[in-house]
Amino acid sequence: MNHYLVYGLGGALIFSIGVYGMLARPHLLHKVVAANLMGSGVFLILIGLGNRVQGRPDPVPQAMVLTGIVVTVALTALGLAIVKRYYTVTGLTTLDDDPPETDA
Amino acid sequence: MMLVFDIILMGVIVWIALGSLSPRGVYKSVVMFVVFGLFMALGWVRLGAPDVALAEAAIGAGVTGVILLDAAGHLRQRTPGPILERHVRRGVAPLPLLASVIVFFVLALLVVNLPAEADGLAPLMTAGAEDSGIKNVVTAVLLDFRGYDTLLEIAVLMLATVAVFSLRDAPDILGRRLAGFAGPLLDSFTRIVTPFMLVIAGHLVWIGSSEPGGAFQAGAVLGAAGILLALSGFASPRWAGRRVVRLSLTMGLLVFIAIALYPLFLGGTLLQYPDETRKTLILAMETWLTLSIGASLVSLFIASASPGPDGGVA
Amino acid sequence: MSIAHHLPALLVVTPLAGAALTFVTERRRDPVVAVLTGLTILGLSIGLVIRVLAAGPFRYEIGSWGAPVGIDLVADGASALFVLLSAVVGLAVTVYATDYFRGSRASVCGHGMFWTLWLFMWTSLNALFLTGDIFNVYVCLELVGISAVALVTLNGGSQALRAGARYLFSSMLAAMTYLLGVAIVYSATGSLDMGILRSTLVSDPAAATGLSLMVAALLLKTALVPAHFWLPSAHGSAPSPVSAALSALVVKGSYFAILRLMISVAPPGFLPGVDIVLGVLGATAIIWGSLQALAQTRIKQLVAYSTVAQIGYLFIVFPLARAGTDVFLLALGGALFHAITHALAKSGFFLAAGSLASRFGYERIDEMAGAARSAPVLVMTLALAGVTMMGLPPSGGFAAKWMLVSAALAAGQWWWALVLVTGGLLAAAYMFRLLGVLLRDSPAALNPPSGAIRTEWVPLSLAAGAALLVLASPLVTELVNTSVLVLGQGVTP
Repeated sequence: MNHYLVYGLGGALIFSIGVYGMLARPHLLHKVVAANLMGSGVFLILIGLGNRVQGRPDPVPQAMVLTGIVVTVALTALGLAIVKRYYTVTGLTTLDDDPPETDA
Repeated sequence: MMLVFDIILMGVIVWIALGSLSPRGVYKSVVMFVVFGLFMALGWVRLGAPDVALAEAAIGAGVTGVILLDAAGHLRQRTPGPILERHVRRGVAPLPLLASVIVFFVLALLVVNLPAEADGLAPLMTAGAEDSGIKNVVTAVLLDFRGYDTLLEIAVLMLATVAVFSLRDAPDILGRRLAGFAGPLLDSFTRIVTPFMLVIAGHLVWIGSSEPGGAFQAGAVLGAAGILLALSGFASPRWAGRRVVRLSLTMGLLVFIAIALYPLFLGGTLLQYPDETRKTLILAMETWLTLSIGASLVSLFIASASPGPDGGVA
Repeated sequence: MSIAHHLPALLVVTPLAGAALTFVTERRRDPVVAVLTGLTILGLSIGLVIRVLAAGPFRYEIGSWGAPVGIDLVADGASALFVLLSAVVGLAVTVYATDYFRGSRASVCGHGMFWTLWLFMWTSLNALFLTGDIFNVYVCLELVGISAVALVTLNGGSQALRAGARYLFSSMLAAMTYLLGVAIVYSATGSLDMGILRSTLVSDPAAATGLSLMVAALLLKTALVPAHFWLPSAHGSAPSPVSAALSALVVKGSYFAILRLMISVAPPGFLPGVDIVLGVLGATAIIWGSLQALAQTRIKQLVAYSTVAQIGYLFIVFPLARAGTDVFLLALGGALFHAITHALAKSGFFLAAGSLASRFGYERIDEMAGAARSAPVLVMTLALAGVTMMGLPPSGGFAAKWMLVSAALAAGQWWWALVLVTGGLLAAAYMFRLLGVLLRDSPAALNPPSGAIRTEWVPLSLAAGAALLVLASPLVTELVNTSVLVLGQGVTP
């Protein structure tokens, strides 16, 4: 098994774990973590497969992943801000239960 | 030999990833996720991506971790009883499990069957970087060849900060909450470490064109320093309303736009730096970007920071 | 290089600069900055349309590197069309919003950020319509998603936050899936540029899977049934100007990306069966969305489900795309025409409905009986918009449906025509139901109108524009013909 395959397959595994988390875990914080896992999985696949030529890692996937990391933290921050505000207003931490009808 | 290390490292990463989704409490999940980020940084080093390793550690594990921990603390109500029960009893949700297993097999097949020696755009990029005189090829790709992506990415970061500002419930809860929060340990730690962090940030920007580093890594370190200061009570009240804060958030983007439009007056296209001034322009841009990225990361933390037990908020 | 050549870049940079400026200037100056920015964008968009009609499609090489090293912007008839659409609807929404966010609402914390968020959204749409690089599409999609979610939660109530949370998580799922697709395509082909991908893609399961993942993710963003679950609550809980922009423009953005991927990037036969699947899902959306709209009791929810149905029409083009050039041109023209007329009609509708709701103070349709007497301009707007949405002749909506039906019949795939006609009938059902209540003869309590000119005549112009757009169909057809989607080849500057 080649060096890059370890990380490529690992990335596939982590992406799949993230998918499971997004779909199966009702708690909103878990969903945020799961989305981040999906992202990390994709990054591993990108850079892992960018390492196929020994000794010369491809800079384009690295640039893409750098962009991806920044975009993901932005998305995560917004997501958590919404989750926290939602909790403040409704007292709920999942989307499964309906909030009390408090406004129009 | 190193292959064994890789396999073990990847195994640890996967195991921690599973742990970060544990249904037994969100604090544990978040801490596991931070550890996950740190091990991922190790992985990036093994994959010859030191710039990414720096960013992952500082942003992916650091800033994300801090914001997650703050959120976890705010959601004092843990995973609701009945729902937790439902999942513990059933064990594992069957349909999502099926979906993720299928996804894994498809991806694994693809990964294994891709051609084993493929260069992608690497040769073109390396040659181009040599021509332009920037030794760090990743920096060349980020700020030169694919600078347009970076421009939009800075927009994303600033946009998210504005969005988080728009979700605050009251403009000036922060002063009350953050003052006097730090104990003596955190206070002294901050006083000692922050100057070093500022120097490191400056260094990372400066050497970013030839060594691993650059605006994002420097900005992340700057942001981390800012978050430390905020936790120790040095942040000012009404953070989001102050003109200085808004300006530092926006200057990076404005400078980037100005430098992007400048070549249009010289007969070139967007972001076509003239050869003579290329390195200077990129460095100038990176400096302002570092400031804005740092300001954004700090603002993302501060603006979404929760009210403490003493501060009252609706 | 003339300024006309730089138009694509200017179209992205202008709203971006506007957004940055509104963040640092005083809040009361923001509407002025926004309107000025909007006018500038409108001018630039018209310029782009003229340029494309005169000189054909062209590529703009950012940094002069050129693909594959750099990122190219692609300006063709389809991009120019959508950019112009965004400019028109965008300016209308901006003007409407100057009244909507005035006064007491300004004390709500979030509303101060509207202008900045809105201009960022505008930037992201223009960038999406003009880009030629599949990774750049990812960044644009994130920009669109974040601004849209932030705008949905602007009102801050529990409904808006809930809708925003759902929208956000769907966006995250879609974005990660899209990025995965890009990762696979790049790892398999070594290219990120749409033109290069088109000329180098050969039958390759990896690239095909990657492309399919990208399309699937975009389907979630475009809210095509069954991935539509997030849309009605999001469009329904947002402030009215935001709902207008979301229905009219944001869903068209990801749809445009699907068009590019399915038609410009994928060679014929590359993604077997996907076009049929898209057609079937579109048909389902038309029927399901219209039925759901019929069952709604609140006006904004009715309109949101109507959007779900109208999105379905846009996907009928895919099974017809490979049935010969004439059929393809007709179908594509019909789809794009439908996108435009629907955007104008829907935004006019949302804005008028918002004005009506703010007058009556609530949003249940039954309680709005008799509005026609007291707010004739607004009800006329709803009626006009409804005419287009139903596809009654001689409105723009009818022209669009006519093109799609003709294309389906010409291709021998009459079943799509059947679905289209049924959709029109169902749309007539829910529209007549709504108008019937409004035109009922009973006095209604009204608050005095505020800023009547802006909140009434702006939506009316939009709806009228939709209805009258049939007069502009030669222009639209010409733009469609100058699109890379039709030419199918890469473009030389």
